[in-house]
Amino acid sequence: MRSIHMLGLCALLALATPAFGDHADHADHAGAQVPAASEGVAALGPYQAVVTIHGLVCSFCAMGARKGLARVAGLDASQFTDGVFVDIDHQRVTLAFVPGAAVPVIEIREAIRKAGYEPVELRIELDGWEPPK
Amino acid sequence: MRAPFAGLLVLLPLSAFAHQPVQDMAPRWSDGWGLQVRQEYRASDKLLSGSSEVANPRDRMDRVSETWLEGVYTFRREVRVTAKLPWIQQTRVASTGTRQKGEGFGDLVLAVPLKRYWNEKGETGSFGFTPHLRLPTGSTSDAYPVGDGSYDVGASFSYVYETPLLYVYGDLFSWLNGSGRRGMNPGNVVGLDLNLGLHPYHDNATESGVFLMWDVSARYEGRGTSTVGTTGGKRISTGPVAIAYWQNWMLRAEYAWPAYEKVWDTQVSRGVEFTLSLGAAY
Repeated sequence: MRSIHMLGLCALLALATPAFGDHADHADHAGAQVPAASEGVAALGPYQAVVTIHGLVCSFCAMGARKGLARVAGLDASQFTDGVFVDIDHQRVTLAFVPGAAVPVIEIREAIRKAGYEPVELRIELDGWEPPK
Repeated sequence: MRAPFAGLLVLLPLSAFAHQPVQDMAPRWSDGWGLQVRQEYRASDKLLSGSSEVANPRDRMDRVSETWLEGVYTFRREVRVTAKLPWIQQTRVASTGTRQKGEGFGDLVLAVPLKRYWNEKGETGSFGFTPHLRLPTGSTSDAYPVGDGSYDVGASFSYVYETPLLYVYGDLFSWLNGSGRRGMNPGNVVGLDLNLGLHPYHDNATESGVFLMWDVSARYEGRGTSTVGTTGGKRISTGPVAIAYWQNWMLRAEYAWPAYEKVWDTQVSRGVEFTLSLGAAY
């Protein structure tokens, strides 16, 4: 029976190891520049929008938000993960759009609601934005 | 003196009653679904009379391995359906000294978790009510049967509170067990599961992280019967839980030992339990 104890403890330690390692919340990912986050305010790049979402506290549970938002029209899939960056530290999602794309606000709101959350605020970086014609 | 014609505190995979795929967390999104494989293992050769360990001259023991195949579909965040089916391999030495085995699919458990969520700045949570139904899909023919042949119904009330750093999960549940075949008639069950934990690490960029928790599980199982004697008792088990997730995958390991255990008549202890599960949500 002693082997059960050892097996269990080894598995727990293996899973817990990343919690004590060196980590940075805003490392580059897949070649995309992750948004810098100052306290409470997202630094947006051009052609980006950020949505504040209440209840967004775990990336695993927020997977539905990321996947739903990734289907929003006009996203630049080469940035972040399919154009979407989920920041649970500040409960917000950054969306990267291709230049000139429209920002489908209603579509974004519905994607967040279907993911089980409530959108609170949407900010859009307009610098250099070419409105669709 | 009446022989200790006692059974084993085994028939019911109690830890499977409360928890729902995937890892009690996902999917909370509409039209989401998930799959999970959970391996539970427990073994003991400690013989209890009431809460006292007694001599075990016939080397009685109990060893159970259950591989649960679990699925979930979320219609919308308030309504899900889940199905859980175990593959069981088990061995025991009964009070007669006879070694008995059982293997096969056990009883299918269906549930409809209903949840009421709230989302606030920096926190989320839910209250849940889940009706359960267990179908007698497991065979009752083995010497150590993997099913008891009865329809059972249950219900649970759950509470979840979560911030980026904290995780709290509580589940109070009960099962009404019907009369099965071959004299198997396990008692009704009331249980409480508590998970208190931290979310000490996460990485937004890779959508990965770790939860560290402490689990406390309390069970009361009324006096019942198996094919070899009495079942049921009271138990509090406790132990650490570690969870690692990466995008839509989550791996969970649990280790629990009986902090308190009292059985009806004389039975083999449930012993230490180790659970490893891997789930994915889509």
